[in-house]
Amino acid sequence: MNTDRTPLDPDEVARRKAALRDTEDRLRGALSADAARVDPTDRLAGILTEAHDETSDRARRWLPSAAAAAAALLLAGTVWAVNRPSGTTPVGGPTGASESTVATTPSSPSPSPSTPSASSSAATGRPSTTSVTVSPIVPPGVPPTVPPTAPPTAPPTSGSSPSSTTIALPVYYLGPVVAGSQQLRLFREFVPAGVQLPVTAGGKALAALRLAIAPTGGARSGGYASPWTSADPTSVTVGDGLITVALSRGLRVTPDGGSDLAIQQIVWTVQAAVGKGALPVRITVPGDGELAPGRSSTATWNRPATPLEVSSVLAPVWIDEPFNGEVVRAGQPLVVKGIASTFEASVEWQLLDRGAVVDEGFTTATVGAPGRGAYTFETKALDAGPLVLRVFESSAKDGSVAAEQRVSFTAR
Amino acid sequence: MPSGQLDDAGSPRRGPGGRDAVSPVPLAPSAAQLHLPSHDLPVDPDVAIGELYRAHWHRLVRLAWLLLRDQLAAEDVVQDAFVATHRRWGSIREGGRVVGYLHTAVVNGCRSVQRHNVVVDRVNTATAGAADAPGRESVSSAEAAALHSTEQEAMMRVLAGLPQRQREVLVLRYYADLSEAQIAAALDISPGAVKSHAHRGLMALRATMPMTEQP
Repeated sequence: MNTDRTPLDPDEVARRKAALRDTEDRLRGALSADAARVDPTDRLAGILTEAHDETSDRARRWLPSAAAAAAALLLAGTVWAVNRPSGTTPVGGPTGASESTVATTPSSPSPSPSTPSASSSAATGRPSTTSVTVSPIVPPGVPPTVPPTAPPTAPPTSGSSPSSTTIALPVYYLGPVVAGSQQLRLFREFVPAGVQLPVTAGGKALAALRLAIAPTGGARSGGYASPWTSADPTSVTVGDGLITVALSRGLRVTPDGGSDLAIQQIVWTVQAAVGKGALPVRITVPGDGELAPGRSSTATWNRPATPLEVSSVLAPVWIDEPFNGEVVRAGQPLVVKGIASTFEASVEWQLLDRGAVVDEGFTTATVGAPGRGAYTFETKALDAGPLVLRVFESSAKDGSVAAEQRVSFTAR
Repeated sequence: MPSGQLDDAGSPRRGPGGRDAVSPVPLAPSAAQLHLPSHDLPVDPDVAIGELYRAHWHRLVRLAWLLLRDQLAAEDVVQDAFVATHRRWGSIREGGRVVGYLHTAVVNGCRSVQRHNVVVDRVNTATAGAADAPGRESVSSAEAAALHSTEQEAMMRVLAGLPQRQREVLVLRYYADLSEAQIAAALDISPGAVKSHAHRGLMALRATMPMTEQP
């Protein structure tokens, strides 16, 4: 490697070092100035979504490098690369757990981190159609908006205090499949939440549950509503093979959509936040009274196991990216990703600027109903301003909108 | 550029402003440590990735940008590095070499992208005329469009023309402020090779830039 280096005496080394110092300084300055032109977009939610989404059909562009990184560290003699059991992969994370029960894609719920076959099949570079980007980028011609010394922009955080930290949690909201519909289903969104320190599975579940039953709006026409709003969750305990949720009270009347769907909202939310798969859930109320009319607070509950049953619980259309309230780059296309369970896997979308349709299209998910498949598409370059994205399914019968999800975000 | 931000301190550094002072993890005692006992690191991958993200996301994207000259690709590569870290958090945590793993993953990811840049460039050329062409610019267009400073432009152009290893070493050394040992670990080469690549790279930069000579 360094065969062309001639042996030097110490003085000569010192002289050359001094001579190069100016070049070093200039290089440092040039690299720093050049790097400062880049204003990285926020991708924490995307990272967490993808990390938990193990049944996603997305091409893993980069797996060969991951394998190479592992191999390099293995050669370097590091410990972790040697005992890298696939079991330490967060099996059944928020989406992994949910989708492993429903997806008909061939991926197993706990794929090995890097397999030779994945390496070879992913060796196709980064096709633009399967980009994992959530946000458009800053073109190099655009002057830097962030000085090089600016602190990294935190992800959309709120409520950070010395006793808590902010984590993007999967939250299952209860809402109509489409505005005005009586049919209620669960919508998953990743939401930044303040979680009590030290962070525990129970703490995450409690934070997610509080968000789920006290929805604060979003762009959804028809909005979210939860029958549990007045049933304050007081604790979530994660034991061996059982999650126990304590509520301050039960429901006195059967809620819209039925007691079982209301219970499913709690079950999916805490299971996803705990991230250990479909652990049974017990929901207790003081005095072991009824959880809801006809539903015992000593029973255990779980999510349904078959795609058909799941489709009666989960909304047909979810949007994972962008998330509600996200700020993305104007002047660039937006890559949208989500999950759909629609007839013949067909997915339609519209981009609304103050109510007017500025872009629209359709795509297909990886599988059709009753399975749940991943979809992705790209809009045209965004104009700056507040925008709303609609992703929906039209009825094959009469063309009316059968299911819909919306997110509002800002292009800037 | 505050040095040491990318050091493998095991526990992610707190960002400016102390926002992350809420971490349940005690701060690493020394930036120079390459291996930390795993009990100093968060167990929960979501927490760990959140902290790592806040401490290193911007810096790593910019590092990847310097190697790729393509922000979208740079973000993709770093995102993948974080996702891989999350998915293997249990075992990476055991080893304690967390930020080093991220570095290795990012550099390898950049190489993987570069290997296929021929294809990407062809696509870029085909779509270059479109006003709303996505910003997956090639090296040449990036430089032509964006580098206003003559000296900086010359410097970056020469850098881009260097062999891959030399470029990686120079960027890790003079942008990321990594030590020779850390660069050696990240690139899986010997410390001697790091020295030699750095030296040759610097010599090449100096040789092609007569105006950098001091009076």
